[in-house]
Amino acid sequence: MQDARLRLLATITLSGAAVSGIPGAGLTFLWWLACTPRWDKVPRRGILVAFLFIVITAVVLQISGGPGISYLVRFSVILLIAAWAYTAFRPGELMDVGVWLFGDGIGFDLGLVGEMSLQSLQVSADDLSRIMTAQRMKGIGWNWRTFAPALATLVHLGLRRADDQAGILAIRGYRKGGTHIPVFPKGKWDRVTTVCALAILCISLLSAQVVVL
Amino acid sequence: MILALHDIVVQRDGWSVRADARFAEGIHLVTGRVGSGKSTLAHLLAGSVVPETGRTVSEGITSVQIGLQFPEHQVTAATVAGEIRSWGLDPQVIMPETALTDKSGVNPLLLSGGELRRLELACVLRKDPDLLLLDEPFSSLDCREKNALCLRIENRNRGITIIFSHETWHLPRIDNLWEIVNGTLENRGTIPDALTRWTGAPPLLRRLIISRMDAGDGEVTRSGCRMLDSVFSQQ
Repeated sequence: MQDARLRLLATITLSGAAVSGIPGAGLTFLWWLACTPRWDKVPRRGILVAFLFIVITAVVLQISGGPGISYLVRFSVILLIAAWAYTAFRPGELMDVGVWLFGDGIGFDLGLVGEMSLQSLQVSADDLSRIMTAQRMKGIGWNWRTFAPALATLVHLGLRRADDQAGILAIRGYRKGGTHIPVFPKGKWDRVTTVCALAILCISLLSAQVVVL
Repeated sequence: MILALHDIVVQRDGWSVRADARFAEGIHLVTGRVGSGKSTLAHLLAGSVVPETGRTVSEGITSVQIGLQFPEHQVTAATVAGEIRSWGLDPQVIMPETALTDKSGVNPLLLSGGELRRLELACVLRKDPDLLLLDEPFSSLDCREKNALCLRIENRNRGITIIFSHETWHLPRIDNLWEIVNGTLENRGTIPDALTRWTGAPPLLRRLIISRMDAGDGEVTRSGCRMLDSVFSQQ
C-alpha cells in the first residue's frame, strides 16, 4: 500500500477489528494474507520478542480464568498488522500525514516527533545488534546480567543523539511548526484494500461482542 | 590460516555488497567510500550478519575479535577497570597503556570519543585473536594515536588482520589492498602495485601515479609507489 494516509486508516480499522473479537481477528488475518507482502522485511527478532510478551500475558490471563486464548489470537493478529505498518513505513511519511491532518503548525510538530521517534527506533535496533555482537566477542551470554549494561548503552546513545538533534534544530532556528508540502504516492490497489479493511471493521463490530479485558 | 568468501551477497534496502575473496595471513586493508558496505562486510566476517547467498570458509582460525566502528557498543561495565576485566584482561596492564590510570572508576560511556576508542582498541588488540577485524579503527583518534595504532597493528606478527577503513593517509604497512567498488569487493593486490589500481587513492598519490604513467615511465611509477609505501609505513 503506497498511500500513507490509507495505510494509517487501514492499520487503525484493522486493529479495531482484530481487538473486537475472534471473527474480526480471523478476517483481519485473511486481509493480512491477501493484501501484504507478509514476512518480507519484517524484523523477525523484534516480532518474536513482542510475541513472547503476548504469550506470557495470555498464559497469565488463562490461568487466572480470563480469555487467554482469545487474547493470544487477537493480539497476535494485531502484531502482524503492526509489523506490516512498521515495515511499510518510509522516511517522511509521518511528516506528510501529520501536516495533511493538522496543518503546518501542530501537524508539523507531531510529524517531526513521529519521524524522529521512528528513526530513533530503527537506529536503536541497529545499536542492539552491534551490542549483542560485542557481547558475543567478549564471550558474554545474553542474560539478565548483561541486559542492564546493554540498556544503559542504548539509553546513553539515544540521549546523545537526541541532544545532537536538538542542537541542530536550534541552530537551524526551529521553534515550532514549519512549512512542508505532503506528497502521497498512489498504489494500484490502495483504495480497494482500504475499503476491504473498513468492511472488515464493520462486519467485526456487527458480528461480535467487544471483548473487555 | 585462511578465510575465504565464496559468492557472498548481502542485501539491504535497495543496496547490496558482493564478495568473493580469500584472506591469507597478514594485514589487509578493505577500503571504499562511506556507505559502500565495509561495516556490513566486517560484521559478516564476525558472524553477526548472515548473507543472502554464498558461504564463508575458514581454516585454522580458532578465535575472532572485532573492533566496532562505535566503541560505545562494546561497553558492558560501569567503570573503566570493570570494562577491561570484562575482556578478561588485567586493568593494571591496559590502563597505563591507554593513559587511563586516573580514570579507572569512571564510566566508560563518559570518556571522550578518543579515550574510549583507545581503551576498546587496546583490549581488542591485547586479545590477539587469529582473525582480527577492525572497523574504522582510526576514527576519533588524533595523528599521534593513529600512528601508534599503526605500529601496534604492524607488530602483530601472526594471524589475519583486516582493517575496514576509508582512512587514506594513516595506515600501517599492509600486505593486501581491497576496495569495494559499485557494491563489489575487488582485490587490488599487494603494495606497491595495488596503488596504481586503487580508484579511491588519495589525490596526491593518484596525481603522482597518473603523471608518471602518462609519461610512460613505468620504472618511475614503481619507484613512486615504493616511496609512498615507505611513507605509509613510517607514519
